[in-house]
Amino acid sequence: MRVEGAAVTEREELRLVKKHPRAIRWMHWINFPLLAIMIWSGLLIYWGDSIPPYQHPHEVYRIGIGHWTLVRFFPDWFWNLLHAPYQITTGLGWHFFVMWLFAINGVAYAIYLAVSGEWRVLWPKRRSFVDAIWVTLYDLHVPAARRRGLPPQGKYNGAQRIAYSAIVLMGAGSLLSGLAIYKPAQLHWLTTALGGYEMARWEHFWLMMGFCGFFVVHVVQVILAGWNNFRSMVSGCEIQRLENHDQRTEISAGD
Amino acid sequence: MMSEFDSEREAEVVRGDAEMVRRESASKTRRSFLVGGLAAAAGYATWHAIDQSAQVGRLQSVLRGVIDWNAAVSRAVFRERGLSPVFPLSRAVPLRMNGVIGMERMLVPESWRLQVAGVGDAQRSRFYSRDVTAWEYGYTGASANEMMPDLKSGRAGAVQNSGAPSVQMPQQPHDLSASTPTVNGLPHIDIAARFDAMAQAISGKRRMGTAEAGASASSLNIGTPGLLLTMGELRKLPRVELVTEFKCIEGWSQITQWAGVRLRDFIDAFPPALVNGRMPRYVYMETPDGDYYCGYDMAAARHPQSTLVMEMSGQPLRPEHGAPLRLHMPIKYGYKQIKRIGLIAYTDVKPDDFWTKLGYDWYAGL
Repeated sequence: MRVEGAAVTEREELRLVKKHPRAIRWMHWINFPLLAIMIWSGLLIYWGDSIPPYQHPHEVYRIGIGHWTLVRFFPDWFWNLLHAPYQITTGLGWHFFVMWLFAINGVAYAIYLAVSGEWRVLWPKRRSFVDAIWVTLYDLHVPAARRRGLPPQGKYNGAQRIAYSAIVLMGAGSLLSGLAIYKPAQLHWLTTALGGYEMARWEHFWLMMGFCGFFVVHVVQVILAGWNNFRSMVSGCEIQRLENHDQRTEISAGD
Repeated sequence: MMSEFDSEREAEVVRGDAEMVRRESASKTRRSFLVGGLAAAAGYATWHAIDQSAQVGRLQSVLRGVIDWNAAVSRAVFRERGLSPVFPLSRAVPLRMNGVIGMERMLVPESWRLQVAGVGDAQRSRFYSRDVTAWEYGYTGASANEMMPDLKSGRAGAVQNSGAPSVQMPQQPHDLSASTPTVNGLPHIDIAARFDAMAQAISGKRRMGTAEAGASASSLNIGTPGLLLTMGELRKLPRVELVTEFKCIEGWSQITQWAGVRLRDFIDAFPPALVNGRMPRYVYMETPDGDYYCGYDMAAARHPQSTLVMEMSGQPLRPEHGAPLRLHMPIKYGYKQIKRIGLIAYTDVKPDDFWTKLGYDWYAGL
């Protein structure tokens, strides 16, 4: 439970508790630059469908139905900001290199979750879905949720369990849809299972957008959760108040 | 409820006085930041080294190496056995036109011949030519660009020949010093060939390979014997039709109907000269002007869906799609599906490839 700005006196007894295993911290932080490179290089490739002189209708990377398009991805200022124009080969080169590292890190993470049993604190429970709604309302400062207080939780609350499990599944989805795009002839069964080549590209694109959305929410939540929480993903340890530790009160004051 | 949380394994490192606990935590945090910082620096250094590595075909050598390794993995795992999905004709659409490299000038249809090099027992064929490169393709005054106004102009040099000469101007002769005898079993450059080159330069033959990627290292040396085939000969092969998805590396795809003859049927009808008792490893194709060229390994060329196309969307092949003969190879990206084929050569040396020189993958296998 978060207690913002908890005043801690010198005499107070604290305890240092291991929160995130070393392997998870490594894989978490390694994943960050790898996913960033995958998204950046992927965008350089996506630009190819926006080559200005063609004026091709966007059939995949857009929001729209049939011939009607609301938003076309992406606007020129965005491409220029990214220095994306005519960098397709750079994008392909990096994408098809870092894909291996991204896949290895992701598979290693999944194996670690399974073998260590860490999946138990991550995978949503039946209760998590209701909890997630209350946590979200609480974070949005809805009075009723504030009065009710946060639901009891372990390492992760219901919303976190759902979000962090979803991001693992999204990673798997990106690998599979990427493979379906990469080898649509040799792995035609996979491409067909995902709804065909264009659909696989659509899925791959929106999973990327999902990662970007997750990143924004994740960073905001980490900032709100405070230093003690962030530090636990660095050092692995979290400081807790000793008394009343049934409620697992965290300290958000700095070192 | 406690038992549930206790099941989430956690271990207390230390407990006690607040100051002591914080000191312990700060020490751990410092160590982690130090290790993490070093790892980040190493990661950045790796990135920088790769990014700055010498370029091979306009791609950082490390990335080029990985792409080639990916191709080796794909070949080993898949062996080009997979078939590209086929679709009902009702889903087919006319294919977009996407680039005219190698087709800037309008070809006179009657002047078209297919040069074939590296053929076994070529001398005994009635299509034998002692120098297939001597064949003169005719071009009309119209520039292809005039017929196709909306061409990509962004890629520097891709299509910048709107003022392409309608009359063939004498240009430099074949750069013989740069051309290497890469097609198997073909004669090396000799003095006679050099005289031929000069003669052709004087007679006004256009220099080969004037597009962005430059001349192909796999173009035939002057004096290369082989076959000169007419469309009539190709039409004697069994006609095939297929409706497949054309996939462009720029990120679009279209389902299109194709008709023509199987490349493997062509190879069987005009079989290559064996190399050490086996088939040569590669097939090389080129436009009549040598501006656009592609290489394929024999497995891809003999893939059952690799098609020498004469018709698209139920119509005779249109000029902008590579009339009179183009390749459709659904197990490869579009940039390998060369239009307006003027030459098919069998070779045991990995052939040069237009887009590979500009940063793309030689293999390009789907």
